Amino acid sequence: MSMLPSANRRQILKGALGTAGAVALGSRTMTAARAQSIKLVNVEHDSRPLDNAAYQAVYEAFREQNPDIEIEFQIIPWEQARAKMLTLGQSNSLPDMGRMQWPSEYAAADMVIALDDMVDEATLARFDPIIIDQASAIGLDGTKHLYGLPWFAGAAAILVNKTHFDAAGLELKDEWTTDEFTAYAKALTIPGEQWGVALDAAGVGDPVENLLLAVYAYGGRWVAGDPVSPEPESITFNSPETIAGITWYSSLFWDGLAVPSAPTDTYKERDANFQSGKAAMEWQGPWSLIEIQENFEKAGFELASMPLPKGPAGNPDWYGGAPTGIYRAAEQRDVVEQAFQWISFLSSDEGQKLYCKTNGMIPASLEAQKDPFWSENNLYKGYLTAMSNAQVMAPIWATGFVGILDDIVPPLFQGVLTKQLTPEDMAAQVQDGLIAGLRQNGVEVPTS
Amino acid sequence: MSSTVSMRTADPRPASAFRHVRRELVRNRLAYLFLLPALLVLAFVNLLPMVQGAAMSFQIYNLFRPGSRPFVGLDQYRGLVADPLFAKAFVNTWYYTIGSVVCQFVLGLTAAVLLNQKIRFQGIFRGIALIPWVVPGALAAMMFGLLFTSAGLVNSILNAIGFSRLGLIGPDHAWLSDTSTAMPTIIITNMWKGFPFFAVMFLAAMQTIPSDLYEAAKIDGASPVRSFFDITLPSIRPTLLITSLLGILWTFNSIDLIYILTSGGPFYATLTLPMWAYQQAFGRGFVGVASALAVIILGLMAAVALIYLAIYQRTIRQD
Repeated sequence: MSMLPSANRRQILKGALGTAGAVALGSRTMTAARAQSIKLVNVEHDSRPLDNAAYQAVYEAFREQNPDIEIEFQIIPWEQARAKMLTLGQSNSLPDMGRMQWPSEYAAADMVIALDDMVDEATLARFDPIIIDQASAIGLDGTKHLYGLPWFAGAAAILVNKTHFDAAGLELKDEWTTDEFTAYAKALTIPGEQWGVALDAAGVGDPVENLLLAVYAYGGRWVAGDPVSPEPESITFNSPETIAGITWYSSLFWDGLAVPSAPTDTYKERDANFQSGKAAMEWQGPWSLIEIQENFEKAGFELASMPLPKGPAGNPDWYGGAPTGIYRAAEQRDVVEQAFQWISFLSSDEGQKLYCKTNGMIPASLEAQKDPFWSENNLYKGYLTAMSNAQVMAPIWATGFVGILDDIVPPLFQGVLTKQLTPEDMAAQVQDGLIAGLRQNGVEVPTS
Repeated sequence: MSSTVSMRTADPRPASAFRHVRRELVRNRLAYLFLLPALLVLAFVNLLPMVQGAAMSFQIYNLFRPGSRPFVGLDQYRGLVADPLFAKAFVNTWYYTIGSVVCQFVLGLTAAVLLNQKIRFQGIFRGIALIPWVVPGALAAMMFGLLFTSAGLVNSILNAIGFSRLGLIGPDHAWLSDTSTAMPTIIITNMWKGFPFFAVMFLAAMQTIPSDLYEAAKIDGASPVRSFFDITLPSIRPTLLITSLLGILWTFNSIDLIYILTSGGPFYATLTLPMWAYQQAFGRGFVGVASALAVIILGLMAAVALIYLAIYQRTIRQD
């Protein structure tokens, strides 16, 4: 039996009818609004807390100018990103736009849209040609296309725990050699307590890139000619210079100067070892420097940076970054124009500054880099100098090159670290594995 | 109305065998009609992908070469078997499977015997023993990954009790980075994760043994150990066999712990066949090669299952 008095029942009935009417009207209004607004999906692979805040800052500014475009931000973690994106491509369930980290592979799998007709010369002139090359790849038609617009960039350098340096009586240097680097690492190592340096021996991307820098410092090269050329190149990894580079890099682990690395360690473990003070130096890019600086302050450490050490062949500077592009899904949903509006905004000087000032990255735009936030900050100086002298890392002419390297280099390098494989054997096996893998991908590799 | 499926002796003549099947279908059409939706779902989610996978193993299916899938017959199988990594992955897979199942079996049996005792808080202990089984594999792997780092709890304990002074391992030994300790570390993780399943199965079987048998044995002067070997083990033998078979099938196929703890490293020390198949498909984009590996794994598992089931049938008949 109801306990409600009859008057209340009437009121409730009236209220219910009123609510139903309001909902009906509201839903019609919302449907009309939804008909005008378009929802896009953006994919990203970096997911540190400040990266999310950086996207939020850009999105808020974008929405002010484009209230009719809504964006859902999806994150596929870095370690799984390449495999998952390729799988999404196969199942026809790609996002509309976002991070375009492996353009040559995505282009070969027909997952991405070429931007050549949408981007003018003036836009491209805002960036270093190297990073534009990294955002380009050979399409299914056999010619080179632009698939992404850069929005942040970086180079590798050595991050330093200045507090540990002071305790060991070491000074910061503007230039140093690989031998000096080893001597510094030795001086900073306290057995069982502190390691000289945190390096990569596993994971995706970083171990290959960092090992490659050591190889470059000793004069080794992956290919004989221009790594960004669309022409077939001979693989030249199996050289005495490469072997010298691998030997030097490995000796840091063999001698107990580098933190031992588990086969599944990623940049996160490397960062954690450095930020906790267990490692006095870290070989890494300018990713999330604000976060590192904040953690250092909390722990009572002082942060500094030094350039990469020079080897017999000079300075192994590298230039990398992140382009953002449009996936095939946007074409199927007929939202290419809106997706381009977003990637153009993110890649504009305004978008880059908003993003990079929030999380401490370095913008890819040469003009934006002149902002005092970066140009007058000592922490960024080493990185900006390295970027101005840099060369491209992995050759982009070869489809699947990066995936093959990520697949074969870390396990073989672990073989060297555990002394079950010599650097000579590793170089030879990487050489053979690369050639075989590329040929399986239909890439022409001349016999050198 | 009866709709049970009856079992009949097969007619020796082939023509009448077909008639027999047809008659069987007609007679029990309602039962088969009820089974049809489930069979269709099974065919769609299990059979179809298996057939598709087997077909792909004869094609060069490369994620980077969309639209082109040339038929290459057994080439990919030949390439795999000729690859030195195949032998390594094959041995590693059995090392991981047998190591894990033996450890889970021994620990599960011990736990079942202990949990079968009439003690206070028996229910609580049984609940606690189930916790590792409930913990998701990924979480267990991350937890053990941290325990076994060079600065992890395992090294701290070993150093505190002076184990490192024996000189077998260093004080900051990285268990997952050493080719000789990586696989045992994963087996320990899998043992912890999987032993409750064995324990629960064995415990359930032990509880079906009539207590009169133990009482009679006790009167005859049999010790608890003798009772265990002469009464408990023979009574639960079918359960021991079927649980071990399930353990072998699950462990052989699993990659979650290996993927998270070592991804097949260091230097292929923990590379198993399923892990290699995953790497081929999603690392390099060679879906055809990965499918060939999957077919090989299926064949191996089918052989193991058939042998095991034959042993199981014989045991049942003997009992």
